Amino acid sequence: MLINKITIYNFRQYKGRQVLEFSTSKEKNVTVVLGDNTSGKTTLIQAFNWCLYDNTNFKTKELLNSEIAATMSQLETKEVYVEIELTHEDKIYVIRRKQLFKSTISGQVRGDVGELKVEYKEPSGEMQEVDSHECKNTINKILPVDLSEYFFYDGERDLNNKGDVVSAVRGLMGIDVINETVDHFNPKSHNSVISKLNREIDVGKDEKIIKLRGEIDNKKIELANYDKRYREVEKEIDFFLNRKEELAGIVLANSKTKRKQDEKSQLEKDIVFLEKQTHATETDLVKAFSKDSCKFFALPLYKNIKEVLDGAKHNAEGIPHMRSKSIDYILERGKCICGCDLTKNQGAEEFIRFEQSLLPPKHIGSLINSYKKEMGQNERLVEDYESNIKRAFGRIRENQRQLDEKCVRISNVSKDIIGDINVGKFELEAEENNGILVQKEKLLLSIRDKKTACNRDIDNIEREIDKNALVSDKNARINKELAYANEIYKLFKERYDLAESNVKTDLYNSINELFAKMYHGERKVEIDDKYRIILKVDNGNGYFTTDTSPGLDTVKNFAFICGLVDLARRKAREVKESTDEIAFNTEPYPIVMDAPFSKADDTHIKNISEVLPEVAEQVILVVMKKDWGYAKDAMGEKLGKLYEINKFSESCSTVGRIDNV
Amino acid sequence: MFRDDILIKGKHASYLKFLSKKTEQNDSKQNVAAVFENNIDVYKAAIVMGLVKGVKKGVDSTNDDSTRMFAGKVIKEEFDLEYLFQMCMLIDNSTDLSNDEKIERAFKGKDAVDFKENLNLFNSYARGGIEWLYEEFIDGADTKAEYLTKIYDIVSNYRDENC
Repeated sequence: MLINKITIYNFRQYKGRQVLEFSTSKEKNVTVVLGDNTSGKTTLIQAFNWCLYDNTNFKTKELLNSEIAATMSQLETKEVYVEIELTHEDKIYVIRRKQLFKSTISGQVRGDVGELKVEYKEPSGEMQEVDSHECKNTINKILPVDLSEYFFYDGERDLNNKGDVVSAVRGLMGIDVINETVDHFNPKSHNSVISKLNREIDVGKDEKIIKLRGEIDNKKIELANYDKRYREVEKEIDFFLNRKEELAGIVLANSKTKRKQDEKSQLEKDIVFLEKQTHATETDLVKAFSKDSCKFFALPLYKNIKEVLDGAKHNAEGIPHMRSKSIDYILERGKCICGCDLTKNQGAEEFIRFEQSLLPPKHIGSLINSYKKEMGQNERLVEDYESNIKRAFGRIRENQRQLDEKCVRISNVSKDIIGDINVGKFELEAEENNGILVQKEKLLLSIRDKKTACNRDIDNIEREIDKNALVSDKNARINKELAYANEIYKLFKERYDLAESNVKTDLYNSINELFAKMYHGERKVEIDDKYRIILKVDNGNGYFTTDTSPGLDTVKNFAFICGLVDLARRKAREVKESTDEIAFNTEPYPIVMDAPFSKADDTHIKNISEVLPEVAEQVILVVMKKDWGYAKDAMGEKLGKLYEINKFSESCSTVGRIDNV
Repeated sequence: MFRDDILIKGKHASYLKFLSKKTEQNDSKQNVAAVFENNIDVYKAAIVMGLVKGVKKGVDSTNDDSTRMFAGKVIKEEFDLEYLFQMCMLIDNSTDLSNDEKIERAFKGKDAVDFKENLNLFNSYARGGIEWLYEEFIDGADTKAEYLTKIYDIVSNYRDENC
C-alpha cells in the first residue's frame, strides 16, 4: 500500500482545502512535512486516523475549524472532510470521510453522524463506489485498524510494550489469516469446524443400526423356522383329518358289532360290580352270623336255665342291714340273739349260714336276678337274628343269580362277535385322533400368531433401520468432511507453525540488524514469545537485561517498526514469486510518523534516517525543523517531496509545498 | 375271671382256624370256611353249641396245631364269656348237682371250691362245640358259597331242630 495524497478541508486548524501529495517513487520515497510545535503536526496524523477509522484523540471533539464555526450564521451548514487516495494491490482507492456541521438558531454548531465513501478505479479508468455497508470492511482489508498505530506512528509512544503485539505481528506478516484458518479448524476449539462436525456425528446410531440388522437377521431365521413348522403342522393336520374320516367309516360300517361290543363291555363292568357286591354281602352275612351267634344258639338253653334259677333257694332276699361278720360272731359264741343255744338246736346253724349267704359280699340272689334280666335281653336281641341272616343270604343269592345271568349273556355275546374287529379300539383311536387334531389346530393358530408377531417385528425393525440409515448416511458424509477438515487443519497448522517460526527468526534477525544500524552503543536485542523486544548488554560475562531510557526506547521502537515493515516488504516480494498453495496475505506498507525524533539524539536521528527509507516502501515524516536538520543529511537523497505547515493563528494553519527540496 | 390268654390245642385249634375269617385274612391261600369274624366268636358260639348238643371233648393231641386268643382280646369279651360260663355251670348235669349247687358254682366263679374243674368243664364244652361246628360246616360243603349256605341252613333250621 502506498499513500498517494491526502486532502483536508476545514479539519481542525487546517482552514480551507489543503492537499498533500506524497512521494511514491522507489528512489525518492520520503515525504517530509515540517512544522513547529502546535502548528498541526499531530492533527495531520489524526486526519489519517479520522478518515480511515473515524478515530481521533483530540481533547476537544469539534472537527470543524473553529474560525469557520465562529463565522457561521444561524442554520448555516459547513462541511469537514478528509480524503485519502492510495494504491493497494495495484488498485487506486479514494477514501473520503465527510461530516456536516450546522449552526442552530441559538448559535450552537452541531455535527451530523458523518459519511464515509470509498471508491476505486476500474481498469477502464472509471471510479466505482463501494457499497456503504462494505466501506469499513474494505478499509480494514487494506490497512487493518489493529495495525494502524504502527504505520501512523506517534514517536512519543512505546509501541513495543503496548497492546497485543503478537496479534499485530501476525497480521502484519500475513499469518493471522492462516492462524484464523487454523483456529477455525482446531479440534481443541469448541467452535471449530472439526468440533462441530464431531458433535454432529451420531456415533450411537451406527452401532444401533448394526444391532438392528443383527436383530432382523435373527427374526428372519425365526420366521423361516415358524414357516417350516407351520407347513409341517398343516401336513400333520391333514393326516389326522384323513385318519378321522377313516376311523368314522370303520365305526359306522361296524355299528352292529359295536352295539354288541358295547353290551359286552357293559356286562363286563356289571360282572365286576356284582362280584364286588357278592364279596360285600358275604362279609355282611358272616358279620351278622358271627356277632350274636352264641346268644342265638343259647335259645334252647334258656328254659332249662330258668328252671334251675327259679327253683333255687338263693332266690330269697337277705336281712336288711345285717352284716356277714355279725353272723360269724353269733355262730362263734353259739348263742342266738333270742338266747337259744345254737349248738343244741339241730339245723339252726345251717339256717343261719343260708341267711349269711344272702348277705353282701356273697349275695348270689342279686346276681341271679341280673342274670335273668340279661337272658331276657339276649332273647329279645336275637329276635331278628334269623331274619337278618336270611336277608343277607337272600342278597347273596340274588347277586349270584344276576351274576350267573350276566355270565351267560356275556358268553353268548362273546360268541356272536368272535372274529369281529374291535370297534371300540377304533373308537378309542378316533377319540385320541380327535384330541391330537384339536391340539394340532391350536398349535397351528399359535404358530400363525407367532409368524404375525415376527413379521410385525421385522417391519418395525426395518422402519427403525430406515430411520437410523438416514442418520448413518449423514454420519458418512460428516466423516468424509471431517477427514477433509483434519487434513486442512494439519496442512495449515504445519504451515502456520513453520511460518510463525520463520517470522520470529526473520523478525529477530531484521530487528537486530536494524537496531545495530541505528544504535551507536553495545546493546543488542532479543525477542520473546510475545514479540516483545528485550534490550541486553554484554558485560564480559554474557548478556543481561538492561534499563532503558526515552532515547533508547525511540531507537528500539524504530528498530521494531522498521523490522516489521522490512519483513512485510520482503515477504510480499517472496509471495509474489512463490508458487505455494497457501497464499500469505502481505503487502508493503508506508510509515507515517509524527515527531519521530523528538527523544532521540543527533547520532540516532542520523542512523534512523539512513535506515528508514531503505526499509519502508514509503516514508512520510511530520517533523520539527530542528529534527529535520539532523535527518536531512542522512535522508536527503531519498526526499521526494517537502511540505511546510504554516501557522497563522492558533486556529488557522495551512500546508504548502516547498519546491526547493 | 377271663383275663388271660386262651390256648386251644390239637385238632380243635385246626377246626377253630378253619371256621374263623382271621385265618383267611392272615393267609388268603388258606381254603377255610371263614364263617365267623374272629377266633373268639368261634369260641363263644362253640361253648353254647357244646351245651346245646351236650358234647364235651378233652384236650386233643392228635396234631401239634394250636391257636392262642390273647388276653387283650379276651378281656374285651370278658362279660360275654362270664355270662356263658355261668350258663355252662347252670346247664351241665354231668356231676349230678342240685340246682343250688349249680347256682353256687355258676355265680361264685373263682370263689367256688371247684373252680378249676368248672373251667375245664367249660373248655370241654367249647372243644365239643368247635368239633360239632366244624363237622356241621364241612358236611357237604367245600366252597365259599356252600359254607355260606351252611350258615343259612343252620340258622334257618335251628329253632326247629333245637327249641
